[in-house]
Amino acid sequence: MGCGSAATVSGERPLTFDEASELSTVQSNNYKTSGAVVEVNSSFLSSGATLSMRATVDWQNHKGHAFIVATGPEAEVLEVYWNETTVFERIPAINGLLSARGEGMVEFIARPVDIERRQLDRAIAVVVGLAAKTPDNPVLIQQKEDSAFVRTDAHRGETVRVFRYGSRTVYWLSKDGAMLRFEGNSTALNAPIVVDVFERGKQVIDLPDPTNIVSIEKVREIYDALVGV
Amino acid sequence: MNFKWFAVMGPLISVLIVASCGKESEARTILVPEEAATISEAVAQARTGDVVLVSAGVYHESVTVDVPGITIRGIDRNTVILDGQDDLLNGVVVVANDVAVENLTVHSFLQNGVLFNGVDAADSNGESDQSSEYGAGDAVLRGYRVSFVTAYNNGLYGIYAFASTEGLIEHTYVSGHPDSGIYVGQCRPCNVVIREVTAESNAIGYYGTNASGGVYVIQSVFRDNRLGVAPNSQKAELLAPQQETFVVGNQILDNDNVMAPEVPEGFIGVGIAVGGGTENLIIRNRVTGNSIAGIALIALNDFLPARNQIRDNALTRNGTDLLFAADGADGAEGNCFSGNEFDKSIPESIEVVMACDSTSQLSDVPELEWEQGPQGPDYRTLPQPPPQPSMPSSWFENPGGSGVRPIIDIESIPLPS
Repeated sequence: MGCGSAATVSGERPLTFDEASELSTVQSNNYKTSGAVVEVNSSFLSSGATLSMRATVDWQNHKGHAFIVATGPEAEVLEVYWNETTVFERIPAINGLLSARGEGMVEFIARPVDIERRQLDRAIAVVVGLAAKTPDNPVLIQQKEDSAFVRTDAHRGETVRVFRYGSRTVYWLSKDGAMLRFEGNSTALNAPIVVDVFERGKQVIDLPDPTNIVSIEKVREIYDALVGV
Repeated sequence: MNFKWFAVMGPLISVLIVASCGKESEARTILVPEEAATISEAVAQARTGDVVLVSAGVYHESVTVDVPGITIRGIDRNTVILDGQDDLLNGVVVVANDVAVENLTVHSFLQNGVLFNGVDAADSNGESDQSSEYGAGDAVLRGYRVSFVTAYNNGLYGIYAFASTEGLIEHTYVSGHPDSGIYVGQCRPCNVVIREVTAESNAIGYYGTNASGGVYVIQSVFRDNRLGVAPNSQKAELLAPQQETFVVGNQILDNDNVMAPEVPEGFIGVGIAVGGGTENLIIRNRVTGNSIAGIALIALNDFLPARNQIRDNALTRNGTDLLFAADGADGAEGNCFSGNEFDKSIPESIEVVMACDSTSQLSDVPELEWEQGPQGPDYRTLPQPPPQPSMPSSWFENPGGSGVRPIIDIESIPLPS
């Protein structure tokens, strides 16, 4: 995966301690930057579904907002907000049905986070998981099986270093150690995901007004019919 | 069980005369900043047997020590300060054998205050091959010492010895760490003595993951942490399960401090928690005021506690003084409790049903309802600890290097008053 270019320099080797230390702080540095704009592209190879989103994430306050383009079970979801416990989805087809039933024009449906069953929620969890309050333990990263310096590469006009962190995640880091790209793959779900990180810094995200939210329990029948999870 | 009651002698490496380029030269004292502007520059000049003597001042640097047999020594523990400013990664990283760090303060690093890292040690020590006698073929650092060091408010551990053996950590104070104040991990045999240390307001006072063989945690104070002392087994590190730590003659007080920083998904309220550890000997400790349990043997990460002895401790004002709770305890055999002063235990009458002079095994193991602690403060906001005693002046005569590890006779260590 990635953008092969003339600047690519291969030569996979074990991590040095300094490199492991740098990797160990990538997520805590993300947390310290407060938030970012990210682009997510994921595939669910077993079902053929795809999901892309451009999201704004506030790591420190555990909030986010994204516009979604998806095929498969999440195809009806157009826009989403989230906090630690709840996902607020805008699904135009449901909005229209509710309006037709005379139940007013409520834009967002609130439901609990469901990482087990929802591809959208797993993608959000990956984005949220790119930040951590505290650094990891570098000596464990260094000896983790499959961790390695993979190559140098070019990405968005700058030279980056590409590291594999364990067997299932790849970090693309700028020369100052900032995460520019994350690649992951859930072996169990056969679901590769790529997150590109832009515009690091404080992000202001206002969740939908409560008057503009309906609980999923009130629209369960319609919801289950339209969102095929 | 066949406990070894005495630590194995460490390597005698107090080298005063070293060979250099075929010519002998005397060990030196390199003054910082008079002869080298920074500690790192002094280390770069140092040879085996040298002492890097650091004057009072605040040093914003991460020091990597790859020269075996040297000492980094502060002139005064409380005024020689390595400050990471919550920006630098580690205070001192040692990857060479027989190095000592003495008489200074290290704080506000993103990761560790002082780290001994055996994984990177082979090159520095001129070893082309890893030691096959060291468990799973790991790299290992041999010989280390930390004396009269204060470590506080670092992002992971205060003092951390990883894949390292033949160590001594003494007269050291650690506080405000969101993981553990002192951490010994992945070593067999560890052959480390941790004595006369104070650990307070950490997520965990002492943590020993897969730290096996000749680990002595003695005559120290672990108070006001979330957890006090925790030998444990984990899959995240090599050399599991943990085996043979001697926890003797310590004061284990009030380890339920919600104002200590928390380790993610960490527990709270236990003085001594043996998590899936084996063949540990916990004797003559004074264990008081821990809200969940004074001394607990529990299963952890699919590892079961086995053949641990809990003897002759004095326990008061704990939620439960003595607790055995190893779910699915088919393999949790040989654990015993005898001679302890206590009021409450789970199971009841623990010294009858699990007595050390009995071969009977507990058949009805209680279920453990274990709550994680609430979120704690940001470790970076915790107060600076008070000044700590500096190293005695006579120690300044010592040559560079980690020196000889003490022999420990645990039978001579009394219950603290």
